[in-house]
Amino acid sequence: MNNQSVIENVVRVIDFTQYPSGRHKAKGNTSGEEFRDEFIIKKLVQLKGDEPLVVDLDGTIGRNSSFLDEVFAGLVTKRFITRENFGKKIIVRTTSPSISQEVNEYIEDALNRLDGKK
Amino acid sequence: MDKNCFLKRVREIRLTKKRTKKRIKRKYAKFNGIRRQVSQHYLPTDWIRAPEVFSLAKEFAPTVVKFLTALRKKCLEQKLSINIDFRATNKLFPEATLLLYAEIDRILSIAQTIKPITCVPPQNHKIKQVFKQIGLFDLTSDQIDVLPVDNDVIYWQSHKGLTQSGDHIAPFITKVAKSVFGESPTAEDMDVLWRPFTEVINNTTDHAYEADRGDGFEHSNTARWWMFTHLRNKLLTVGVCDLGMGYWRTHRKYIGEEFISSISSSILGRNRDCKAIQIAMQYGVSGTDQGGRGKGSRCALSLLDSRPNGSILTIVSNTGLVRYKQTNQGNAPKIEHSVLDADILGTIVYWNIPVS
Repeated sequence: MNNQSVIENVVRVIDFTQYPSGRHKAKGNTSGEEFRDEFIIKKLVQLKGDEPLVVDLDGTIGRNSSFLDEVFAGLVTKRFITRENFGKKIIVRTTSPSISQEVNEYIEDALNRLDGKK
Repeated sequence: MDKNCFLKRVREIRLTKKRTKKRIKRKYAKFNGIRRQVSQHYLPTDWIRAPEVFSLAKEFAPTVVKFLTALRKKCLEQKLSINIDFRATNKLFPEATLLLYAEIDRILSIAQTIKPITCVPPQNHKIKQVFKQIGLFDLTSDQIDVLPVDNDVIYWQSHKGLTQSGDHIAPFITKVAKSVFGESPTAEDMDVLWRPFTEVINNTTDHAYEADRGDGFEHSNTARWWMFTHLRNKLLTVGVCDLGMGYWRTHRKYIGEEFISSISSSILGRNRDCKAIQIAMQYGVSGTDQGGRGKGSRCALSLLDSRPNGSILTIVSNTGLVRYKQTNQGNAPKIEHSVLDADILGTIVYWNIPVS
């Protein structure tokens, strides 16, 4: 049962587009904003309690920084990622250590900005 | 021979002469690749002679810019249909040809005349092939009978787009990745190529068109960026052009004089456009004052780190030209700069990357 739920709670970039690029929905149909809002947030809303969501970044032609920043820093801005649930609620899955590190930096930066504003 | 028979014979001779004359005219037009629409709307009302050399080198840039400025004015301000006479054009350099392609596409997208531009094809067969290959004659809807066959022509491709969607250039990047990294490139290999090109396009669509270009005409409504790609003989060449406000005007809004003076010792030259390019490359200054931003320009430079030994990145923005040459991995690239005697009213980012 547990395994089943883990399998189901996966959002793959490849299911959205093979060519992730860009930040805003208004500027292209492969944007981070669209992937975040239409895939990740919709799935997060459906999840119960503290069930984690795995975001799989592999399998695409490439991943650029605008796309990744918009997705993950945006999740912080929209309060889906907080200091408390960082690394627990949303788990980034990628075979590339540098991408994983980059995503963590975007999240950390966004959390710091949010802390600064308080 | 009776009178009627004689008159009939005379009519036949006259008709034959008339037909022969028409046939010669048709053959002449076909030989020169010209097909004219005999309609009042399509008749050219003015001519412009294109430069012999399309280059953004110091000595040629003013001529190219003067030609493009005249073309814009005649088509957009005076609303004339223009015949561009390319017959004397005998040398093309990619940066300037990309600018020509972008300018013509923009003019065609916003001009109000029925057929704003008609090309008179170059006499030089190679140049004619290049124009056909990059789709210049298709832009202007001129049916020029030439088939690109030369090896140094057929690998050039042109792309253009209005948005940041990556699907425009994905097939080319996949092809390059396979030739560089083998049949199964890893995700990280793909990122090396994917990021610089897509981030430059993102930068263009995000920032270059925040204000008018400075020539008094509106922005193109069909494309925001134009791209040439070429992969041959283990050399990858990619150029991205935008006809926006340029680095300096984009940064002027957000960068204080204090910041510029604090880093002036590390910036070459006095030209404001050269300075703006270098600031973007070194500091990745963003216009949005938000985290994770301002990486587009630095991504352009990152490709040089991954492919040393002769990689070159050239950035032309308005009157400034800055060139980064990477010779050894780990070392900072060598920077050269120069000032053009003419304003291209846009930005061109151009890579030459050995992919052996």
